[in-house]
Amino acid sequence: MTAASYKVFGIPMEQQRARRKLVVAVYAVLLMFCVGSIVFARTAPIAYNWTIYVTMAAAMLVFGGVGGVGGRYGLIKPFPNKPPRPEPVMVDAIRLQLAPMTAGTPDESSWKNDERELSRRDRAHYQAYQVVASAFPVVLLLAALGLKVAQGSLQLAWLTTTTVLQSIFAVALLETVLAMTLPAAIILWNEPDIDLG
Amino acid sequence: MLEQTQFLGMPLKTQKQRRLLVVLYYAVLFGLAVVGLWINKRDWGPLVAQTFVVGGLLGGIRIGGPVKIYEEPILPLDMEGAVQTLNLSGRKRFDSTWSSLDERERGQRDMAHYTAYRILRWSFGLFVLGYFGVSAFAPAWLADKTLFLLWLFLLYVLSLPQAVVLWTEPEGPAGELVEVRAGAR
Repeated sequence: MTAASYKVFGIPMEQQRARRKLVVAVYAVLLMFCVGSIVFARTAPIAYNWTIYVTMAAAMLVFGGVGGVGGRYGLIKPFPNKPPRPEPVMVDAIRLQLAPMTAGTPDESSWKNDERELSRRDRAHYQAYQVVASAFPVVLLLAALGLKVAQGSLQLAWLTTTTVLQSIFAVALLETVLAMTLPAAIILWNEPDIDLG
Repeated sequence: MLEQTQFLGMPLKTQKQRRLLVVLYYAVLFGLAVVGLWINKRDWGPLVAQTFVVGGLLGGIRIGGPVKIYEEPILPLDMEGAVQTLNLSGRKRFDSTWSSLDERERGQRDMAHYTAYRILRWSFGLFVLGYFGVSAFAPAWLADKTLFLLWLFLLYVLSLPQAVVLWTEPEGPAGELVEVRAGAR
């Protein structure tokens, strides 16, 4: 389940080992941004914006699977399995001047998933759904804990309403990052070596 | 993917009936939301304890609903084991409550989760937008109701894949649900 290009920053990704290293590296960077946002959120709550932007960039440009960009970016073909949106006329006209051979509709193989890829896509979403859904009870428990602290029925020296709210923010941010990237990461992790022949 | 042709007195043989069940389920949740937001109740403990019962009413994540459970249930103390049931001869129980999903059912389960994932992405965004929108007008009231709203959203998340399964399960021959496999209820 890969797009036309099997390279990320010039590094070939046909091997499963290379893709797994990529997934680990991307999540390490995202985790750094999450931790940074959580730390800076104490004084500047808007700090989480950068984490969301970086996550979107990773999902769209590195992992792929995001619809609308038509398989032009990322390692995985778009999940929606629809042809890419036509580009504005001016962009097409410029492309015709620069590279006449690229004229015409994008190759179907760059965006259309075959039966095996569709089943892999669905299985990855099934697994990701369980992970993402399991974060909601955690947020609910933290919110209940926060309510008890705010009402005064639970008093611990180290536990304040602010601490609980920060914990909720941390869990919600991590869950958002996972929700945006996990299905694609699962596919990249499990896909066997690609033989280009 | 479905285990029952009837649920809580409602027939589920046609697609129209199954879709009606989904609509009724979410209508009840909506009614619960309206009541919960209206009354001034602080202790939701007994209701929250039933989260997986209510969220799994349509099946999928628990036994007993119309949708077959997605994974093999893990029973405490190996209640299905030969010693516990005194089934030392090893014959299969007639009323076995779980049979593994076949290839079609696994595909249907996965497809439902893919669809549910897409729906959840949009609905979560709307939920957050709505929350911040209301917080601009009634922050104190919303802070009081946040726990209840989170609990409702959790029910929605838990029930969504099963609702997709029930909504999209196709009609069988002559408008009847395809017969359940032998050994399942």
